[in-house]
Amino acid sequence: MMQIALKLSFVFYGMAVGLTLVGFLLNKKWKFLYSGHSLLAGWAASTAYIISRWYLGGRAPMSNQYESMIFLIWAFVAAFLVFRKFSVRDMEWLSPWTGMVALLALGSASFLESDITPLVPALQSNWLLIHVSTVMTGYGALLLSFLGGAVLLFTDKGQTEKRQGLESITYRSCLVGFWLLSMGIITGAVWANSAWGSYWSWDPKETWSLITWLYYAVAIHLRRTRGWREDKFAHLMIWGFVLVMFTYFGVNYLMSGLHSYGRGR
Amino acid sequence: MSKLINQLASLRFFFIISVLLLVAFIIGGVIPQGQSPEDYKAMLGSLGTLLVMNLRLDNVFSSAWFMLLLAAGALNMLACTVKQWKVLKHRPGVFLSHLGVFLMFIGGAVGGLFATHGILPLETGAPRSDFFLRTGGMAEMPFQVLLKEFNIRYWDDEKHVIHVLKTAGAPGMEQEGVVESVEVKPGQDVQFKSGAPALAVLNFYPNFSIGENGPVSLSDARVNPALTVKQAGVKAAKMSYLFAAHPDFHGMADTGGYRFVYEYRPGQIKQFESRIAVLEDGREKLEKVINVNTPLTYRGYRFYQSGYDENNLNASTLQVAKDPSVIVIYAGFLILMAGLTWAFWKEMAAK
Repeated sequence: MMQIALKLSFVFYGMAVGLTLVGFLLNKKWKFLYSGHSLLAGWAASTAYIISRWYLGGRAPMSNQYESMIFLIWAFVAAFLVFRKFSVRDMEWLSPWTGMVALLALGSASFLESDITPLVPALQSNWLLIHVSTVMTGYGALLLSFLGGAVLLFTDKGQTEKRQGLESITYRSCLVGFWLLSMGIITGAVWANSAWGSYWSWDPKETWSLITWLYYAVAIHLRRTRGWREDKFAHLMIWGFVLVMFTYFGVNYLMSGLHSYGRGR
Repeated sequence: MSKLINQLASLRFFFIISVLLLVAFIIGGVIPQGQSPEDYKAMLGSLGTLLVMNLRLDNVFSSAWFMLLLAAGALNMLACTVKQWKVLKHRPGVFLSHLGVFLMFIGGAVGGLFATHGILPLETGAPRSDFFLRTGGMAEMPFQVLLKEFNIRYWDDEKHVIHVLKTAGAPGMEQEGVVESVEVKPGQDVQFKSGAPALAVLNFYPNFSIGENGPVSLSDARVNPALTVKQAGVKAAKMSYLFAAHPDFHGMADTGGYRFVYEYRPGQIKQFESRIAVLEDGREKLEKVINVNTPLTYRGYRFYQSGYDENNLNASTLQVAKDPSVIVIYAGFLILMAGLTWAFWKEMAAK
């Protein structure tokens, strides 16, 4: 059941890309519509996969790099689907790109250690679920702002309406991501205080999340007060997500600290 | 005054502080912190070490220049908060977010000045009231802490496995190899399908040694796990030892070309637990089992399970924290989140 759900999510995310390509080749109107439906199906399969992993392990599946990455992809697609629900026209043609990103990320995750292992003492806390899920959902939203920004840069200046839509998505997902990132850092601090007696230890992961947080805070100020919109803001979001990726992956592999479980075994 | 506030609250000042803080964070995030000069020399060479030691880049986050930077950040946040106060009606969320961050700066300063963190090593039955400060030296608490019991809990029990090896030269065996592996339990006999003689597994010694009256275990710690065994069903059979740490030791005769190797598989640790009590004037006030995510709080002091000694399971190390800044920091967290929610909600709804 668990493996079938995982395979199905691969297939559906692949279809989200494939259907658009076919639609383009045959010049069909449905090209984005079905792509969006496939994403929804892929997301449902991912949900089933996470739930069955949760059930089998008897705990929230968020204890290592593999599990957190599966959740990140889930949150990213969820963020896309939510935004799409509110403005189909602005979002629909991001569907194949979302599918592509989800597919590539799932593929990379499959190289990671995916066994369900018992939790080490430090992770046995309800804060694990709260902390990891907020941070990963935040990363998912910031990934969407990265994607929006990247597509915006390649969109012809003449397509004003399309660009405005993309601009708005990029900014909104940045706000959602920043809110969740703040929440994630705070829940991490509260957890650290209840497990180790200090809410902040300047551990590399903490330091780099603070760097990311401050970067996005500056980006939001630049947009609100200095008018950094469209291409300028898109660049900010692209570089911001590079920071997010470094905080998420780079720190795990290059530095050791309190978050070393992330690395897997 | 208002000119000064305007300057301190200016975006230019915010961007400068942010860039400087980002640079400081990156330096602290890239250069490993708190290492010895020798370690830095190996990593960065002589010139790099000179730079690191003189600029206090080895402890960025407690250096004077970083504190100065934080103070500047706090001033900026305070000025922004004051400035936003004037337009509170229009932008309550923005006001609250800046106030929240300002409180975190204040909390950080309070923590830096008044918080104590330390280590309290305990042994069962020996209460103590002093602990080792993280910054060096000792501190005294107005009460004593007593360790009643330390326990390691496992997800699954430990396992004892005997591997049967057929010695080289036997039919079909060019070199020695494992033909069978069986999980055994002390106190029970074990039969082998491969034809090796049945064994009676007698006792398990976690930390084997030979005492005056034969084999003993020096402690419960799994330092030198050993099994005593003898051939089952043979009255005159001699007792023999199998050591997990010394698989090549083999004291058994007449095994018909078979050799036994003992493997000790430790259980996976679920939790470290200390049952501790607080004593005042020799009288017990409180008892609690603490583990990694469940500390004990008493009169502003918090005690966290932190370490243990695998050679002495009667000892447990606790971390001690007394930090009056927590309340300020948490208030900052709450206000920041309330502010961000308010501000972003308003902005998202506006478009």
